[in-house]
Amino acid sequence: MKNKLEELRRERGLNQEELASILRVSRQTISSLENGRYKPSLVLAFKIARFFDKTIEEIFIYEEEDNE
Amino acid sequence: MNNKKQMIFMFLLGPVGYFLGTIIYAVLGGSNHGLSLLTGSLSALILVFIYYLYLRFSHSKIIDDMRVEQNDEREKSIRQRAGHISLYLVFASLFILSFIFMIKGHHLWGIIIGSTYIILLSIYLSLIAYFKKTY
Repeated sequence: MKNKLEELRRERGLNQEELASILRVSRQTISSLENGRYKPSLVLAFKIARFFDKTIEEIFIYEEEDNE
Repeated sequence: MNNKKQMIFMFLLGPVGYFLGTIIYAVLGGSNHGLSLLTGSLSALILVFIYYLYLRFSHSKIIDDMRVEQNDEREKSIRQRAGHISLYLVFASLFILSFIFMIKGHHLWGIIIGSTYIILLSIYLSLIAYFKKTY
C-alpha cells in the first residue's frame, strides 16, 4: 500500500521519532509504514489522518494487489 | 545508555540475580536444591524490581518507551506471527517425537508426547472455535 506519510511528515518538519512519539507507536512502525512494508490498522490510519488533518484516502492509496 | 541497552540490561539482570542468589545460598552453606532454586528466583525478581524502580523514578521516559513498544501494533503483529510459527513448530516436533519414540519401542514416552500433542491441538482448536463466536 502506497502512502504519503513521509511527504506529510517532512512538510510538518518532523522526524520519524517525533511522529512516532505523537502517535504513540515505535519509530520502526513509522519507518515500515513509510516504506510500505507495513499496513496500519484502521485505528492507526485514523490517528494519522486526524493528526495531518486529512482523510485516510488522502494519505493511503489502496491498490488491488494489496488484497493478495 | 540508550533505551534499548537499558532494556537489555534489565532482562540480563534476571539470570545474573538468579546466579547471585544461588551462589550466596551455597556460600551460606545451603544444600537443598529446591531452596537454592527459590533463593535464585527470588533474588532475580528483587534485582529486576529494584532496577525497574530505579528506571521508573529516574528515567521515566524509558519505562514510557517500553510501554509504547509493548502496545505498538506492528510489534504485536510481529509477536503474533512469531507465536504462530513457533506453535506449528511445537506441533510438528511433538508429532515427530511421539512417532520416533513409538518406533524405537519407548511406548510410554510415545504415549505421553502423543497425548500432549492431542491436548495442545484440542486447546488450540477450541480457542479458535471460541474466538470465532466472540469476534
